[in-house]
Amino acid sequence: MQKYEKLEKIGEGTYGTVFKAKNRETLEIVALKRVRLDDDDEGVPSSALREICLLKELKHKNVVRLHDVVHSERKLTLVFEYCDQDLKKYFDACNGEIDPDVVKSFMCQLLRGIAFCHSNNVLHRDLKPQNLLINKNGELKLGDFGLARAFGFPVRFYSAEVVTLWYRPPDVLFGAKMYSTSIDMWSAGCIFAELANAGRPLFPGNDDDDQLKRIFKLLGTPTEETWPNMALLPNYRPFPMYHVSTTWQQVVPKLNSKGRDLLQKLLVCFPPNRLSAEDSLQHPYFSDVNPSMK
Amino acid sequence: MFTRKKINENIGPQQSKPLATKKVMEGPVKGGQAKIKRAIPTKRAAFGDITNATKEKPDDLKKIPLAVKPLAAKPLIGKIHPTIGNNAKNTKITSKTKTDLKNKANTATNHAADLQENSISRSQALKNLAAGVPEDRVEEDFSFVIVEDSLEEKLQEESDKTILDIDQELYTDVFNVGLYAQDIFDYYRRRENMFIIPPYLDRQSTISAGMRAILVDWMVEVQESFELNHETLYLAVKLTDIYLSRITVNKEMLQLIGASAIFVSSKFDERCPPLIEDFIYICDNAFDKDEFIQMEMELLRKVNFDLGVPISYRFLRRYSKVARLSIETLTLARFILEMSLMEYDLVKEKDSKVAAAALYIAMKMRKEGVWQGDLVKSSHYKVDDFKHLIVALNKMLLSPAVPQLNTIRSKYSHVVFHEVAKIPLMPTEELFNTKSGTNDCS
Repeated sequence: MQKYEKLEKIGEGTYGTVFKAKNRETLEIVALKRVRLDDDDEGVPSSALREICLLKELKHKNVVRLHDVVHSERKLTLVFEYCDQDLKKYFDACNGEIDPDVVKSFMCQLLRGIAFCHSNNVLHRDLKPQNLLINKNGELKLGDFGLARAFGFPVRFYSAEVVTLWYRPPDVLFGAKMYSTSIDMWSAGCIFAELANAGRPLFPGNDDDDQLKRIFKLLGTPTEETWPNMALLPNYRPFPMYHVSTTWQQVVPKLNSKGRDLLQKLLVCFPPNRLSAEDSLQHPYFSDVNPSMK
Repeated sequence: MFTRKKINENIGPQQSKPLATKKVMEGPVKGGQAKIKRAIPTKRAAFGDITNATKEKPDDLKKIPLAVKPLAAKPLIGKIHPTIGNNAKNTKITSKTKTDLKNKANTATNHAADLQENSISRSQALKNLAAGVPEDRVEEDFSFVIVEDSLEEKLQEESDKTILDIDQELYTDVFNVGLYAQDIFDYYRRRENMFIIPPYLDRQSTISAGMRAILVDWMVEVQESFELNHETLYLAVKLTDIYLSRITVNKEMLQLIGASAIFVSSKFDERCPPLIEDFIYICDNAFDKDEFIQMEMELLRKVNFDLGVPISYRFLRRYSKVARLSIETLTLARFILEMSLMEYDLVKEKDSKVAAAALYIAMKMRKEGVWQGDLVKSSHYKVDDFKHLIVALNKMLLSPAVPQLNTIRSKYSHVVFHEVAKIPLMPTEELFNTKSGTNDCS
């Protein structure tokens, strides 16, 4: 790894440590993700393998760019484009105030990144502020594809142990193993509300039960009519019948009515009724965004 | 029937012994992970037949694949001894005489691969790997390939940007993802151009089409025994071919390459991939853990970490969905398509076309559906575009090159697969017979 000079540790990804580093020749700043290959292990971890393969395919300005993979004896190093911070850190630094135009821009970029992944056959499965990278130019990029996977037609059973709790959709909380693109759209909705509230998470649950309660308290407990066959999900259990008592205006006071409408269409418990990324971008909330940006 | 075997050994069939089921249950399989489903081995055709047919030097044959061993390490089935087994039926196997690699190298015009001429023997390759390959070299190997769509293709796709009925119906269907289906398949079609595999056997001095067929047959057994998805099998075969098209290998490496390809594909696509131990076990300890780990990395590097290879199986499922065909017809097509994996001559063909041809034959045999309308729209193919493949596939069915490789045939003779392998074949001319009410609209 003589090519890169390590500058500082930035954080921990799904399966490895991330460092900021400088390319000694070009002076370009990059992020290095180090994957240790231990003897007693199963070779390349499947999360790293998927991240590499999927990111090799996904070339989009709203998806973090994988420049290179370096293999040395006992480790694998992924070389990524460097982004100054992630959305979580951005929230911490914003002092409770994010300009509505910035909210819209970030949301639009998030949806573009997701739409690109979905139309290229990839589910991210771990969208959350920590995994959204932001650079100096205000560009937002999907990062950390350690839980991502390619999906098939029709989709098969996948792992239900995906997505960080606060951003996990109710179907997956009920143990659904058949899911597809809608899994990321729920997370996108949660992130949208968090953006609108300058970093206050929408559903900061403590465990699966608490998470579902928080969701149902806000949206109302689903019924067989609003969510057909909900009771057939592997970990389904009945919840009290909460009725909607808060308005969306109370939930996201700084978001305009179009934004609230979009948010409602994303936060839908019944997966098929959740708006897709593609359709979200056509929503009136984005009507004043330059079409070439969508 | 699953058999455990070491591809490099030379073992006589007289050693065959039924497998103790208990042993299988105790196999090195982690709970809930790979399951070794069926334990009782049956005799396989002697591989000596095949090696005889290749008419290679006898002492080579001893090293050539493939001793077949059942799951319990001791009993051995099948063998590779050249003197055992009748060889009368097998004269069809292509004989690959040793060729000067350099003379033949120019046949390869692969877009993506910097075709490397390095002939790597097993021990040498593994030693290199173990020693740690210089980092800068690895970096060079890792080069992104950019897909460039031909203008023609772009135009064609734009003009076809209508949503098919089936996708409209399944637009919000979580499981069929109607909204993105055609987009994704069009993406696959562009992407498969990156993975066209040039003929490579003339550059491989020790591997023949017959050996490749044996390897694929074995890989199908592994897929069944570990209950892997079919996508995993198809991807593994594809990775094996890509690897072989880029690296000249020794035949002793073949099984390790095939097993590693399944290992890598499983990690990419399976929820619970089998463990290395499972692979060591099914290879009957022919390779150790280090060799697997090194081969995995070697394979990943040589295929450039490109595991998103569009595979014929996905195209087949898509076409069949679009045409709303019955499960029996789809299953018959899956049988035909899986058989095609063993055919070296089809390796160079586009997966989207081979899938179309397999489905076409199945539709004819089952007298269901016509290749027209949405099928043409979604596949972008008319019958004429893949006619030669219909002929090739049907010929393969009518007169298999290696009849004793029957893993796939017996798999699809099972009720679970609607016994589709037992459906009578059609003479090739009749497949193009437009009178039967199922005329093609090419």
